[in-house]
Amino acid sequence: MNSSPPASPPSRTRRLFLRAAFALGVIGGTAAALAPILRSDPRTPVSPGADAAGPPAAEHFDEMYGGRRIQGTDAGVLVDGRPLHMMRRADGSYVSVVNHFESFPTALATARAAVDDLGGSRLALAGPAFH
Amino acid sequence: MHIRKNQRNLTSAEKKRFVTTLLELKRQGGYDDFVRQHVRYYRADGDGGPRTGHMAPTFLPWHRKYLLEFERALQRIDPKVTVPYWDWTTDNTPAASLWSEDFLGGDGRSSDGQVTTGAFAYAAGNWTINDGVLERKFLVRAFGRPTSPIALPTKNELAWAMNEPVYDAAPWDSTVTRGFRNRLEGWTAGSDRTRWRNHNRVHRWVGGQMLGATAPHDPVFWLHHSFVDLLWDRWQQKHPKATYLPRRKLDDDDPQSGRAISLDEPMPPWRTKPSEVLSHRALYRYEA
Repeated sequence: MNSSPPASPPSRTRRLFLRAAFALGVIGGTAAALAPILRSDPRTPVSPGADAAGPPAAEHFDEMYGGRRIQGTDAGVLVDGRPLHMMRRADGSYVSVVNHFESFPTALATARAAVDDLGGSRLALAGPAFH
Repeated sequence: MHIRKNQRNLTSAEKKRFVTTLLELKRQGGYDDFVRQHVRYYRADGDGGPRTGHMAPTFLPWHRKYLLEFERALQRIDPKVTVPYWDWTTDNTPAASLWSEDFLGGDGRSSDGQVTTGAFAYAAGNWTINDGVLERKFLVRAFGRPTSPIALPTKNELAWAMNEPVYDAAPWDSTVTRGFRNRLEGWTAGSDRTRWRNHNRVHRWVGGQMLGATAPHDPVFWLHHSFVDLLWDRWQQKHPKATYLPRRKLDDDDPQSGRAISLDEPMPPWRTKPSEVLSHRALYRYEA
């Protein structure tokens, strides 16, 4: 799955995200869960109830929050440059790998909540402990 | 046939047996297989594809089978072990014996959330977390979310789910406002204080790994879901004419076709059908 390049040359951010996402995907089925995120075109508006997996559609932000840099990019949300795995609920809100039992209305709110609950930890970049 | 007891009634010897067996399953590697399985079968309803573990009618039968498989793995190490249950409407404070040194250990410390008491404390050397999700290797808890406190669900809040006469309803996902399943699972809209209900709220209250996809890293996961499993049983007693829904495979033109699993369709990864696990009474019983 890491050998299929995007149709157009990827941006540096997207390339980093893809590499990091693949590393993250090494844990079990997260790879499968990430697949639709990697496939989807972030510029396509998401409609609730549709196949709405994917990064926050064109929700761009870049701020310091709780001492962490959080970014919303075309390819997904990053915390200190590391991908925050997110899933979409049918009502259009999000859950993240850090908060799977509550949802947030926007990608920015999801990123901030993840920072709140990360404590002092960082998201893992390459943690192939499960394979 | 074995008995799942209320954790508050366990003897010291039973607690020790449970803890020791968990540590051995962890040492052998089997424990982390279960954590991985929970991650793998968590799919949100905004995604395509079948949902088995969460945001779906199979939330209850899937976790019943999952707990049963876990319990069997423990019993291969010690045939006398069963998974106790935690009634969080009763044992609803950090002072509950559940969190004592000789059982699951207590809250995380304020600096980094690390659990430092009991057998699952990182420093004890037997409970290292290494899953590729976060860099931290230690078990974390933050009881009641100190930054913006919440309480565990009350009996009244649980009754709001238990009194629902219908098992589940279209669209069979996290947005349905009716039905026992989602009211117990706890996906509802609302303000910051009210948007978690019942099952989800308990995950939120414990904090740490219990908040995330890798929630089974915290052994309390099993006691929480053992109680959720018992609640399904109690709900069936309360509503004897109610049945699992959807009963039939959804029509091809239904938006949830291929996504929500009906009564006689197999649930991955075991191929078990919900209809096969509607009752647990041939397999185990709950202490009255």
